[in-house]
Amino acid sequence: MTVAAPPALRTVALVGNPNTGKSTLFNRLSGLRQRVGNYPGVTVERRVGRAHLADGEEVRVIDLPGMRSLAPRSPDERIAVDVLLGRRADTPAPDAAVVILNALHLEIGLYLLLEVRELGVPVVACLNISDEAERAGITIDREALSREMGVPVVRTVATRGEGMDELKAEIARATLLPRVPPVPLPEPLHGMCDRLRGAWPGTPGDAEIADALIEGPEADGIPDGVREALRKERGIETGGRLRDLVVGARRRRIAEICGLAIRRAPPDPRRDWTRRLDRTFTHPVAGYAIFLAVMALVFVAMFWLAQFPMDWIKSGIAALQRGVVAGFGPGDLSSLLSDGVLEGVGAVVVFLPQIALLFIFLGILEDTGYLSRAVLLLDRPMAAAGLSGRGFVPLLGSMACAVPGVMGTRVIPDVRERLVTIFVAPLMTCSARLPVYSCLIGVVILAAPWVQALVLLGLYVLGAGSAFTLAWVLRRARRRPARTDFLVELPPYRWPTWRTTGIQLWQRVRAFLRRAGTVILGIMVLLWFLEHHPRSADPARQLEESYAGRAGKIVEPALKPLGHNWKTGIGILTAFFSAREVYVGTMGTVYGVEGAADDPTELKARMQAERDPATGRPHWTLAAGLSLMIFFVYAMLCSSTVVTVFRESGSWRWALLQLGVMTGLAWVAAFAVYRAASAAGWGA
Amino acid sequence: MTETLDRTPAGARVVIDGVDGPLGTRLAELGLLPGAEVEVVQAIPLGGPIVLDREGFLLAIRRDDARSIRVRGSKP
Repeated sequence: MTVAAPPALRTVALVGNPNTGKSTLFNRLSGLRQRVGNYPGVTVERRVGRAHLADGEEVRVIDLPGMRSLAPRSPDERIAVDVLLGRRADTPAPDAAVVILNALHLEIGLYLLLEVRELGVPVVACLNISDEAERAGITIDREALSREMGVPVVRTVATRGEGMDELKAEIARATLLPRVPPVPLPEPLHGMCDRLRGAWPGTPGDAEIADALIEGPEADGIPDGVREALRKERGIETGGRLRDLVVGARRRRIAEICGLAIRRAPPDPRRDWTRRLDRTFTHPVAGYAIFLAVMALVFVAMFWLAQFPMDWIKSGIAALQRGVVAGFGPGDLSSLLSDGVLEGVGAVVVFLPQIALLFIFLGILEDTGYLSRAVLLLDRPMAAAGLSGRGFVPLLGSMACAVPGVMGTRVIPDVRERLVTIFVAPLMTCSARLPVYSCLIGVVILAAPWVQALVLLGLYVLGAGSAFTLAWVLRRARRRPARTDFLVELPPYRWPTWRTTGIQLWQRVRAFLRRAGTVILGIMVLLWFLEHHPRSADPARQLEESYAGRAGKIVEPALKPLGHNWKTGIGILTAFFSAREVYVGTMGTVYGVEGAADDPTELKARMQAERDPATGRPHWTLAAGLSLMIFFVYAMLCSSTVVTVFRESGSWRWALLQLGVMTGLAWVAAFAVYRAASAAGWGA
Repeated sequence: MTETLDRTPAGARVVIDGVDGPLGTRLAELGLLPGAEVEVVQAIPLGGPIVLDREGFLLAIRRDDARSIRVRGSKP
């Protein structure tokens, strides 16, 4: 008996402008059966899922990055075009494309639909956000649209799941259709593209070459080798004329189709509502006041509200540790599980509530449409540092924890700007630095509480100021000044869709927990081993005589010029591998104080009492304390952030460059402060 | 009379005459090509971006970019 081979899994690509509800539709199609990662080597998110069609068939669904046209101008768009044309080895060529259109602005989205259809791949058009369009008095004749475009048109409301069955049926039909030859560009562009193709590196699409011909040989992003050929080929043609041949012709066709298929009722109350809200939200006074209030709310939630679940996680881990010690008795195994695994992973997982809260807020702000307005309000101030308004919320989030801050930079479409934002985010004062600052301030700033508070505030300001300064430097380090393509669409205000926010939150949380359970768990086991071996005869000197302690002594020469010894060396090394706040607990172990992380009073007294063995003078002078605080402002003492930056930037180079630059800055700044403070007589 | 979009007061409706530089294709793809009518909805304070309305589609562009968009007043 012969068994028929199972049919190969067919692939559908979702294509659409930003703000068409593409992600919501993707979530509707694939639910939680999706994998989110990066395309190898680039900072572009890769989302692939599985959808069950009506007849039990399963298809692979690729959610391509949002784009306006197939002429690629950003890495996102380049990837999307390559995937559509089947030019990427890591992603199968799609058998069909679903083009998602925003029914509110059909004439905008039809441009991309025309382009995708010209590629020759079978297309299903999806008229999404149809409910809002109907309420706004926009009637679309789907039959006319389908006839004019030559593709099936489905009405959907992805937020409520309407039209999904019809969409799945059309997808099933389309994946079985053959590809047809692509529609050639109009002459003389077609011939020009053919002649230029040989000179071009890689395998460019017609749209890409045509775009270069339109923009001219001097434009950004054109491979250097082809500029001369491009100039020669263009000859007397002007960009404007070539543009009109392609873009203008498509636009005229769209105007014709829209005239046939769209009917508008003149009054548009919903738009007025959006405009009324805009007048308040972008008002010179009220707008900024509301913005500050919203950001204060985010800040309070991440610091105060997050405290409760963080305490539950801490006490839950403490209970597990007691259980482990009671169950296994004293010994290596219970020490490894309790002090190594639970203590170490707990120190990282405790930041989970802050991470979740930041993403809940980001999701709500984006869904309601407020984020775009905040981006406008902040654009000008952020532009002073070479960033844009989109970088503000991730940087604010980094003040809780740099890990979600770095992950949150996905809202920045421009890749270079995003990399710079990732680079400077860890300089914002995260909550793990707070226990360290408060311990050091208590030890060396022997002054009134308001002076201590002022020092703390100064450290926050220094962190933020350094982040923006470094961003400014990085944005100007390039020969060509970086120009961000800034065209921000302002979607109408609407209520958030919890489903989309929920699924995205779940993906971020899962990614973080997976990292905590794999890479970070491994680091913790290693760290435990280094702290507990070789065995010391005297338990009080275990840490000092362990491999970790020896490492602390090895780095001591580097810390001497900053006024520190091997004790801080161990503290810094353990802080790097788990979290900055672990410094306080490690110092507790080094100074032989139990429970220093919970009540540092005893630790502070012991630290103040420490004398330099050579001179007999106090070790923790004002100069030494200040230099260490400055070190913590700049140093990347957080392996979780390094791993996150690697994941988000897609390159170890960027993560290691950041680690190197921050370590260098930290050392130089701490050294300068130590010498200046010593010269001022604060070193005794 | 031709002027540039960065100098158009909020509330005015204008017709696009032409766009200089690489912004042109981007805007043309969005339907903002010569001959298209747009309304300047508002200017964001502190020299921030300008919000345009093209048949209900709200788009913000930076003031620097608006300088390269030539416009003329639309007939009432």
